[in-house]
Amino acid sequence: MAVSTLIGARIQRREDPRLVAGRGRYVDDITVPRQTHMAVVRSPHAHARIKSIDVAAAAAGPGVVAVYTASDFKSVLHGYLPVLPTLVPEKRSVPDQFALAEREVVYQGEPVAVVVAESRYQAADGAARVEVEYEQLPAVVDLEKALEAGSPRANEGSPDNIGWEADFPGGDIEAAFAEAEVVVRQRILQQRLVPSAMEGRAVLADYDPFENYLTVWTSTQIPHFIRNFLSAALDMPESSIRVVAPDVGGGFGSKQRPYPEEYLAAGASKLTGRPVKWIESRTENIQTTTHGRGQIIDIEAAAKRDGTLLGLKIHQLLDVGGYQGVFGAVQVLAILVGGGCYTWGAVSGRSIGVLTNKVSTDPYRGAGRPEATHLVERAVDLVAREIGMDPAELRRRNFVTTFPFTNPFGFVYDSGDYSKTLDRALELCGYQELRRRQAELREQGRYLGIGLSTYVEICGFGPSAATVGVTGSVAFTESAQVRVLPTGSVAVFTGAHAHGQGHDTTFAQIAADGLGLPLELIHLRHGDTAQGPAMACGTYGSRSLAVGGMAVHKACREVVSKARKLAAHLFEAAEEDMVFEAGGFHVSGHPDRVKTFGEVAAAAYGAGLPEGMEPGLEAVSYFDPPNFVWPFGAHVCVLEVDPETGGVDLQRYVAVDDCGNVINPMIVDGQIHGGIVQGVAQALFEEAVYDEETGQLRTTTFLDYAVPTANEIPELTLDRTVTPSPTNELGVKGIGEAGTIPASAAVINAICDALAPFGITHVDMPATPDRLWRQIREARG
Amino acid sequence: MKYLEPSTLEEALDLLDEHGDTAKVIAGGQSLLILLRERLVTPEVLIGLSAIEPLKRLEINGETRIGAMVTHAAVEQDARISERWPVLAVAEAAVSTVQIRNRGTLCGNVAHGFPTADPPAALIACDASVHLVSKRGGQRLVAAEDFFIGLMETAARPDELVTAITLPAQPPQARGAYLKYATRALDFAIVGAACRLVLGSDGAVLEARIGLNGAANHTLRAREAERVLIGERPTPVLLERAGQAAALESSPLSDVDGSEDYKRRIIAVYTRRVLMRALGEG
Repeated sequence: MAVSTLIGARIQRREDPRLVAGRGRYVDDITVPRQTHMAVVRSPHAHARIKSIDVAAAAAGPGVVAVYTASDFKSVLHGYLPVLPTLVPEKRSVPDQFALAEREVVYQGEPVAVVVAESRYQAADGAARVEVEYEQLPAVVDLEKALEAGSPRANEGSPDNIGWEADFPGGDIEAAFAEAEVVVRQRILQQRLVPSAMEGRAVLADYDPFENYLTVWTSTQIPHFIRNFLSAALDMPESSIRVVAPDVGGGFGSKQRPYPEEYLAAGASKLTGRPVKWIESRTENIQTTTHGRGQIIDIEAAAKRDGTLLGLKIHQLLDVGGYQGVFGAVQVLAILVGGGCYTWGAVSGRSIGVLTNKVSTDPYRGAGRPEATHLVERAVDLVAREIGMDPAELRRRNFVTTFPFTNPFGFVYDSGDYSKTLDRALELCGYQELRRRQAELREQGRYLGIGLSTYVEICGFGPSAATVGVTGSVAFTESAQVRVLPTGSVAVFTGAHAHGQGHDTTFAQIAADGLGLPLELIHLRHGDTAQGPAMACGTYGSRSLAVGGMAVHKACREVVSKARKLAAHLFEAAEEDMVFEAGGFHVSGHPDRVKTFGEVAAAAYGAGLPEGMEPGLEAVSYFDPPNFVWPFGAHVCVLEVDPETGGVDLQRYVAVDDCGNVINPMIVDGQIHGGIVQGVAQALFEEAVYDEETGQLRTTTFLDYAVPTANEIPELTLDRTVTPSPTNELGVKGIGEAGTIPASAAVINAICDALAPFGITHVDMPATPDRLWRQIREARG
Repeated sequence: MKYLEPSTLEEALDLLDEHGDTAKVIAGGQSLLILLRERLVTPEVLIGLSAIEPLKRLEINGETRIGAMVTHAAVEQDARISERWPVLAVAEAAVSTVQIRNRGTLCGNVAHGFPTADPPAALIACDASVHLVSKRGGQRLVAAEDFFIGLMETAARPDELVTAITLPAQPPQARGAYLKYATRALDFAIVGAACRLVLGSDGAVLEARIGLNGAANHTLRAREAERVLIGERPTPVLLERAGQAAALESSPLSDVDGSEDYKRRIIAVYTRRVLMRALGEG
């Protein structure tokens, strides 16, 4: 192996100069000859029957090329959006979703027709002229009411509004509760969140009837899956479809599934014989791109008075939306890792997916794990309050300390040192001093709060051995191709997709290290199904590095292995005597005579190869990890609540995270920063609010859906410990979601801590001033 | 929709007279463009003011006169304004983001009549006047406190153009402040309170002007709160009473930012706090 020089280096993101200079190439920056524009006609109602659609006025509008409704697409589009096999073993009936609704619309914004026109303006004007007659049906909005006998149905395809209902037994829960000296109970609301990627969704589909070849540029996290889905829906071979995810302006999980517009643009291109572009507006994004969370979680925790945690019961009602999200059931991870970093005797859970007349929920940064952390960190704080123990001490007493650790549901935590991150976080924030200051301020009628949140995260999806039972035949492996060109420069193709994660830099660091080459010789490509390996799974669930990075690492190793054989041949030496170091080979004991990597690469394409060796120096690798990876850490939030207004002044935020070996510290810091902000956003600012009666979304712009800005976030104090993962050779874990996962609990625990003198034990999210003021007022009587 | 760009004020007034209700005037466009995009207003004619040079002037001699095309940023960054009309400078700096302040104009903001915009309360506190001109009616001056009459409703008639806002020289001993309460710094205010106080030599309040954004469907002058203060020496109890009076004379709207009773509470607290800040105690 080469001596590691680039892994762990603080290298600035190579992609930034281009992106910062405004020279990125997003879907809307791509224009092809004869391009048309598509606008989507959407249901204004949350639930309605479609009586009739009159397209005549729209079709006659200036510049309109075509207007299509569901029946028009039947000749080119087959089937419906796939609901992939999910983590839920038993599923009830799942209503089919077609790209365009034909008889029934089940959420506001559901597509019912499209208008294709010469310009985007003409398409929008055309869409406004499509006359749709609806018969409104009752909207199902509230999760609990949806489950009552006699509730209207959210979707006529479902008999009972239940998408799934599943029990998850993890140990002998009754025995655990039988020992209880203390039991705490809490209802926790996980409000719906809008992922709010900076770039909305966008599609450009270009069908070539002469070649029967379809090219689709789409703002997605999963280009290869989109290719496969389009292949099935359009009844075209995958080899006739090229899907390109060019620069993508963020996804946060909302772009890890196919959407109606991808099918519609492709279908419309086939029907019109012209390229069709569709660019989502921000209101469409907020209304129709999948949401995250949307859960009512009831917990019950049993403990002893000495602080020993015994048992945890979790009941999850999950707002599925009008159709089941493609990966929506991943959010049952709230139960499967709901025990957190602690050695509970038993954990049990029950999850019910409830159909409502809203857009589907699907994974959003963390997907089930922020919910898990929030519920267990609230539970632990409630127990600590109940028995009068310092929350840090209670955590320490119950941490898992031996690894590998098998949790009550059979998941195996690979490595960790939970006390170490907690101790460091407490040291950084000056915990004892803060507690002293808190007592002092309380004397003055001021309310300082200190919130702890320690977490362990399951990520790196996913080992097929662990997921096969619930995914069927789908394996979430990752691929890479490493092509060494004749002079020794290298093109690396990764199946992971970067939309802000910085793969162009970090994956190049891995390849440069693996091949002993300078970074400048590595060119990284991704996001184009016409390049690189045949199959790839894309980026989500903090998997890119631990799965995709490993595929790059493996492919490099294969290349070096072949190069070593060839170098031995060139030196007329034995293979086992070859030393690979600093980008060159030499015979052991003779470091002065070196064949550079470039010389060996040139030889690989030349004459005189050893007997039986094929020319060429390239490799394709697929990596199927043996386990998930398990990052962890401890966050501390310090804030003050203004009792007069309920306003929260965030003062400090300390995060100590451990994601195993670090490839690029700057990128890890960046991920933690953004992640924390999204967690704080849930705790204090964001909520997708639906009208309880009509099911219409009330927060449809960034004016009323309050994504926080830099103004609202204090300086973050970051540090890390390094506990390598034994799961992969790089020793790496994931970091894309780690910031978000503990953050909401840290903030809410801090608010509850601040308001403890009022006897307040819990607050819901978002903890808006209005909500806190009301709670304080009620507590004061 | 037609876009017209007159180069003189007279031309602009002719166009307004000709098109009346079917026309909309556009200055920086930071409010109007959103309404157009959402198809909430659909004028036949847009009259752009950007070619009328005199409207770009910010003049100061004793009083200040801020022309219709002067941006928030220009007001905010003018050293003379921050020195002599600091309440306005602070309120201007509180308007949304740098990008919006660079494009949006003070007069446009005022003409839009949005109840939770920042500058209007400050203009009331500073005793500002709005200059209106029309072809038929000529010129008239409306005090800021009389200009805002409803939700996006002002005293301006459809054929009238807001040409300038003037602020008189502030009394020598005046002290003032603007305090904004919002979810995020870039948001409209939930409540924005501005005040200007003049104390006599005995420490009693001689003159008080309080403007409140977000306290009703339009920015209002809190006369009851002012009445509590006049003739009295400011004490914590007095300021608390002024805040209560402001809350009572307000009629805030319940919306996603908060319920009516919550906003009333915030009005009381922020009226008290803005007075404290003006007195150098907050």
